[in-house]
Amino acid sequence: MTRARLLAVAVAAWWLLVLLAALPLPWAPLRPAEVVSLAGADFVAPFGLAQVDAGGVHVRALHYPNGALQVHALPAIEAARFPVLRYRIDALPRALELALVFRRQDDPDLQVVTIAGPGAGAATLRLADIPAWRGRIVELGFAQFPGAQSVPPALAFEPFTLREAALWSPSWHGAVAARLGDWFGRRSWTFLAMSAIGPDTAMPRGPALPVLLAIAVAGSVLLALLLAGGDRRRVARLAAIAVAVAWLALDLRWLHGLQARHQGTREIYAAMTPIQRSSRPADQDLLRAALRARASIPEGDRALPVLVDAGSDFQRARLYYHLLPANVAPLNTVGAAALTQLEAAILVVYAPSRPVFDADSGQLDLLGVQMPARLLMSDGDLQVFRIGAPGP
Amino acid sequence: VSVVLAHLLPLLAGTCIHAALVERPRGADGWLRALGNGYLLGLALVVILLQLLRPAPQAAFATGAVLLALVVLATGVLARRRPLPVAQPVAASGPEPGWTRWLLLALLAWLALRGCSLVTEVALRPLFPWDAWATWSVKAKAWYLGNTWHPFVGFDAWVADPQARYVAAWFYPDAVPTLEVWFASAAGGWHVAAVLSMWPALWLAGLLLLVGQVRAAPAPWWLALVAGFCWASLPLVQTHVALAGYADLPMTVVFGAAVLSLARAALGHGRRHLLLAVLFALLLPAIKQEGALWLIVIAVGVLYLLLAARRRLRLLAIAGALVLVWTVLFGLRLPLPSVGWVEAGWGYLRTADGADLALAWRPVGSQLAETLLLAPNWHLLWWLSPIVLLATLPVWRALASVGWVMAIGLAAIVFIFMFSDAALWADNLTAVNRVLMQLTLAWVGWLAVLAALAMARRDRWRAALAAAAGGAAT
Repeated sequence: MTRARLLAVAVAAWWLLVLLAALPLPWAPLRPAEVVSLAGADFVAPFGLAQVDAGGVHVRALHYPNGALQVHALPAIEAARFPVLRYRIDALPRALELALVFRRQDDPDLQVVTIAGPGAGAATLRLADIPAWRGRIVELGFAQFPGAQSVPPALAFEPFTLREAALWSPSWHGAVAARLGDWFGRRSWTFLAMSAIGPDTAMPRGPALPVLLAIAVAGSVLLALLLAGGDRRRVARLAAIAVAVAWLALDLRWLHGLQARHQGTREIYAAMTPIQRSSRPADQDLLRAALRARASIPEGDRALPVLVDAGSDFQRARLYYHLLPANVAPLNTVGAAALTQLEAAILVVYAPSRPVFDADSGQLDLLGVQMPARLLMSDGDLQVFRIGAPGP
Repeated sequence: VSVVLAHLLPLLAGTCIHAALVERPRGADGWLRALGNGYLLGLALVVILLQLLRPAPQAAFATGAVLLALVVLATGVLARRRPLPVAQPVAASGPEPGWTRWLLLALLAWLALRGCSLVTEVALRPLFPWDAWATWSVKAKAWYLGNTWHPFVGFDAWVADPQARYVAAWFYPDAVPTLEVWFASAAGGWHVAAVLSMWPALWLAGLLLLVGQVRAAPAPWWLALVAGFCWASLPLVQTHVALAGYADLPMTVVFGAAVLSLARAALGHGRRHLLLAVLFALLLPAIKQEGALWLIVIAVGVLYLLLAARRRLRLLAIAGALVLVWTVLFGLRLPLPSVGWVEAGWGYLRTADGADLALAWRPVGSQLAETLLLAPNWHLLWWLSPIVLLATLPVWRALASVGWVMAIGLAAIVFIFMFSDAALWADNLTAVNRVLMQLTLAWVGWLAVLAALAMARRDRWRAALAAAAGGAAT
């Protein structure tokens, strides 16, 4: 064997070895020795409008705000014996998040773990990467819900079918499929993606691909140094090829994820006109609330400062944005006492817990601060007040 | 059409300014430099015009377009009069290998595929990332829909002035929201896709200027293309394009443009490149507050280049030591553009907007390592960087000014995230990556230019050895 061939074989063997090291079960049998099959027809659907038949669970509508849930009782199986889950959900919309839910015998709380959405066919998940997967499992199922703050709930849903699931004992087949699912599984955009990709989802993860590829490249260069017979040009060429292959592998994986995320966006927005898109943000309920609040402000008071409060930072900040170009400010930043410094103002409150308002005396108690006020509208979670002396 | 014009006019104006004042384009790489730098210069011109003239925000495009057209005419004539630069020297590593053409085709195909996804994502998705709608677009939306340049002020001033507006980050710089007003006025409404179309364009501008500037080193095409691919394929960079609206990508591209112009000046390509680097550096604080820090960092590089070679290291070391000792003993109070007065002393750092950072060691090294090396944010960039730096050690001196900029920039990030309360943002893997991203265009460009210099040095040695061997044989 020539020196060049020996080097090529050694490098190929090294890459294979590194990839195998990423698989957690190199000594397992090829196929799982034990399989617990969970037929779709045996699941029940506590949430969501669903029909169960021999073909599986056909989910026709989500239950707002919980989404949909399908569960299957188990005969207290030992978690450690089944480290791999195989599942098939047909036509699951990309805009829906998928979660694995299970209950342990020793803990009545339901464990919920976000997992990658399946593509075409079956998907595989390595349960052993989930810290809570231990002890004996008495219930297992799947939940689907619109991605929080990223998709309009009303537009995220399309009917889908949970066909089947299966728990597998350790096997090469399961290990390879689960690792591929980990690396190439379908993810959605999240707010944290602007700062870090990877920790932007709570999905269980195996060994980091950049580390494996860096090890593969480093080993290739070492092998070239050992086997290239001092030919520096050959070492440099092999190092360049190894780096290019590793970089491209990472990039193709990223591109695959980017396309999947983009496809999710297309599914919801591609058929809409720009004006329809702008009126259908992920928080349509808040947009509608802002429009209702704006309409409730009398013409003569439109120039008054508008203070906004809501049940969460997200709701408050989004209401603020939707109310622009009004002279708006978030109440949590300026403080309730700020209202007393203003001669007159509008207060928009969107929260389940309302401020105490006495209509008879016209007094509003906001976080312990008393002020004269007039209720302009009250509709569900939304209330609008005019604070201060009556307007002209 | 008007949104396309809103991109084309700054591009044309900036390219003509670049051609007239810095470098008349010659050859494909010259055009890449001119277009990449030109787009940034054009956008800067838009901001300056709108902030100076203050036309009604909804008429910003109508007013600005006429002025930009005049700038294109005037600088176009000036550019035509400038002599063409001498032909691009052939990269010292010899003629381009035959596969360069295939690499170029592959890169273009990849770019088209990736670019389509990114552009359509921006076009389809309503404004999504948190700070985009909670911070950066707030001023723009209020200005545009209110059709008035309301001042954004702190709470006390807001209570006193009915014309003033309030947002929690009222003190953030205005360049990005001003540009959003420009694109909204071109679209004739608050159309988010038009407003955000700047981000894919900035990504492309960064790619063009990186390839063009590296090529000018001189580097072979394949190396310049690979450098462009490496930067433009970084997942976090692409996320900032796809989920447009943060100011970090504009910061990344302008900082990269400044550093790469500084590299040209360091390589002896003329003082005009140094002036361009200073101009880009001056724009940084107008984009984001940390721009003030990057301005200081680039100023060190510029000073290093301007000082006499024999004494500059000693002078800068003495100046740095004096500032450090003064800060530790007496405290330092400095006015920084877009930040205001900053006070620093032993164990503290305070800014005018109320940030009070306690300076002490924070154990976030493992989180930093995780985000640099394990997470899929950067592909293999931070794994390969030390290797490229080691391999190019003999040519560091030729780009020492840029080297100092990168070293101080990286040290500043490490200091801020490991020695201040900002460690929280390293611990939760948030702001640390975004600040690091701001270095990436400059970083990749610096590594590529170093590689080009190292290859040229190697080839000179080979040629000298071959000549010596030939002489001995004769």
